[in-house]
Amino acid sequence: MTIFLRDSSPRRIIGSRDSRRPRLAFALGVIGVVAFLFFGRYFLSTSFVALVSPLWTLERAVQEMLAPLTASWANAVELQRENTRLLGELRDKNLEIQRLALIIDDYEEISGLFTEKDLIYSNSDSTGHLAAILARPPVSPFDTLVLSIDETSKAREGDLVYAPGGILLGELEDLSGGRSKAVLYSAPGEVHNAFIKGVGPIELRGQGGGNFETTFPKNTDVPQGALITLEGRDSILAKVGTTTVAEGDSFQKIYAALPISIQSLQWVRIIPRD
Amino acid sequence: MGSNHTSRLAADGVFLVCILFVPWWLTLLFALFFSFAFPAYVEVVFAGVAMDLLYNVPRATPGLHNEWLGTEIALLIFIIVPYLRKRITSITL
Repeated sequence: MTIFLRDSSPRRIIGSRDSRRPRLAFALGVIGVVAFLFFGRYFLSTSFVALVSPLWTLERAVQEMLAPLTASWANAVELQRENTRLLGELRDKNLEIQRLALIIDDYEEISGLFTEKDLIYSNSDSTGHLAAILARPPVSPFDTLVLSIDETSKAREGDLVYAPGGILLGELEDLSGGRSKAVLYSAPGEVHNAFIKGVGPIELRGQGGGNFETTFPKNTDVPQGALITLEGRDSILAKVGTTTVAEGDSFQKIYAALPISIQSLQWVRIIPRD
Repeated sequence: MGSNHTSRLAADGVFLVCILFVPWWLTLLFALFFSFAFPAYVEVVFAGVAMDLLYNVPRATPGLHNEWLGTEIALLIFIIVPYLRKRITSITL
């Protein structure tokens, strides 16, 4: 039997055990970093948010501190701000009235199935607990809110996040040490079963930036401004905006949006899911 | 050399403020600008990871939207911009 040995020229030394060691260390390092990022994500994320949140709290404090100062310099600005705030309050109250009207409608439809508990939990402006918004879209690119929650509260992941006026925004995620994120239902990729009041059930798809999209048979009239509620809850999710029909298509595309501006929100209310 | 380091540090500070306080699309513009302005601007990758850790959440959503989307975009910028930077320099020279 003849054995042919490989050329043992100096170039082969490159593949020796000593020279392989740094490459092995590099590969192990990369694998370690990737494993840590994937498996230690929750720990990293909550720690990083806790580390950064004093800066957001400082930003809120500076904004509140500067507000009266700038107002004393320019009364017109203050009046404008007060006007905007009052208009916001009026809009919230109007939405609350519309939401209560929905409850009354449903109550009349299914009076035998409606319990006192449903009424209590649907009144989102007086139950649950408040959380301050530390960061919001458009700073957050993923349609998420970063929240500061009272550590003594019994908030859990999956609890529902409401804006004033009983508008359902999304759900709690990544809860740890008084900090949490909330994923808005309008986030890209989110799909939820919903109901257009007076029209019928739909599958509502988040498009980002507080916008939604859905389809419905084109021969049905979907009025602009119609309220969209989450299936099984009397909470407003969105308002119908525009509808478009492509030629030859049997469905119409419906665009909807949150009835409030996320950028102007300072607080949200957390309501237990159950 | 010293002023280069100082300007890069200042840019990093601006970038950090962007991540925390300004709209994401402005942060993206700054990421592109700084990647063009400084060689091997690895900070953009760290920024991508930071954006994901601060704002993104793992959800069972199909398609492009995933829990490391910011990091993936940052890596793309980190890889593509130096290539564009070289080409643009050769065109201007």
